[in-house]
Amino acid sequence: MKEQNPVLSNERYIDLLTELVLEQEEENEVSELANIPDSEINTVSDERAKTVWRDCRPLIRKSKGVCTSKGNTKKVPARIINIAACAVLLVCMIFPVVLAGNAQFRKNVYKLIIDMQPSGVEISMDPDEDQSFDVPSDWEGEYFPTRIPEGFSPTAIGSSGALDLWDDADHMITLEEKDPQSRAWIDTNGATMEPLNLNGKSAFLFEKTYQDGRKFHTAVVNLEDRYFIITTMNMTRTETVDIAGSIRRVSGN
Amino acid sequence: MFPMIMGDRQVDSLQSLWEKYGRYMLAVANRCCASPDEADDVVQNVVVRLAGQADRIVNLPDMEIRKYLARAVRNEAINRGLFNKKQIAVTDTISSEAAQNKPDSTNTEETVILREEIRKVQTLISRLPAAEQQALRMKKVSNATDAEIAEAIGISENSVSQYVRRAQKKLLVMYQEEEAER
Repeated sequence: MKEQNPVLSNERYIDLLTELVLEQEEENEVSELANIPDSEINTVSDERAKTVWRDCRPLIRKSKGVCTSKGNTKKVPARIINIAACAVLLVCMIFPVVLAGNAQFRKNVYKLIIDMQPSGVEISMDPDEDQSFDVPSDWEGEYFPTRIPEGFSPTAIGSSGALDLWDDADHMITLEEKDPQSRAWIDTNGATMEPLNLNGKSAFLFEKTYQDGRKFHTAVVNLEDRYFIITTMNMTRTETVDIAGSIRRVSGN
Repeated sequence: MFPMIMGDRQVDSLQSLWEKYGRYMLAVANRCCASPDEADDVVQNVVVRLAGQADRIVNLPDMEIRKYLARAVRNEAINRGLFNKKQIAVTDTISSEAAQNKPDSTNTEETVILREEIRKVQTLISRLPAAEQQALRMKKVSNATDAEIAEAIGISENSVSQYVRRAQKKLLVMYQEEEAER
């Protein structure tokens, strides 16, 4: 396992907030620009559009032979946005945080953590610490959910250590265990976020439905020295929360 | 870097993308840049960059294409130092998003501090010199390389990391000063 170091320095805290601000700023501005009214688009003359296209053509022809993937993949993805900073910030906030220096700074962040604890949403699922449960042999994490719905079987563990489980009806569960320094990618564009308390563990649940009808739930659970991410596809909120609330330490199994 | 061959099909896709969204891209660029000439240059660069993936983009739903193109134009304007933020009137969506994410009013208080922190850092970023803001945006959001950042803000490639770190350190100092004044 990776070395655990749940320390969030002042520099890292500001860095995370900066990333969060800039990424939110980008999302907000892109949304605004995407909804430019037709009346404004109509102010652009056909003549101007033709001129720009005409000027582009030689450059396109030049690049027609070979263009580098760097140029092609330069940060313009629309559907999957990098909200790593956001996710890490949230996760860091629900972790025990040790801050160097400034006492006022530390106090503020602790207050932030306290205020982020959910007040109205309390999911009660009795932990069954003695319950035995199956863990795939190649799972390297220290935690695993005890409640995986019937019919799911593990497929493969990816390079990031994430485990995918599928059933015959194309429902999917992905399990990932991360240390506090790791980055997580969650598509929160248009998603709802809900704070949860799962048997005393703080968590966040993201819910998003894509235009093609696929529905995703992502639960990020604070496990004190790391966090656990459960993503489900085409499953219910209750099923996802049920899995998230059943996470237990494997070594105690 | 792996080379990607661009074929006629992609050029055709690019042309149909342009026919449908060319004027939209120019309207976006008008918002992002101070002059039509700058807007045209930005769009031209974006079109050339999009050339290798046009056939994939063209099949996305309309709003996805708009967002994709808007992001591309905006980030190109930032990377070229032509971005004119004032022309994009964005409402306080951080507050409204936080409000939407909260199922009931009891949770509103829980996000107040986070929103305050975000606003504070937003203000602090806006107090940085334009070049430092640009370097931060390019590094953190646009995924620009050190070479691109160096070219955009006129420093050596070796100095980019140090430049960004210095901007971050300034933010931290300003943040701590504000906290001390409280």
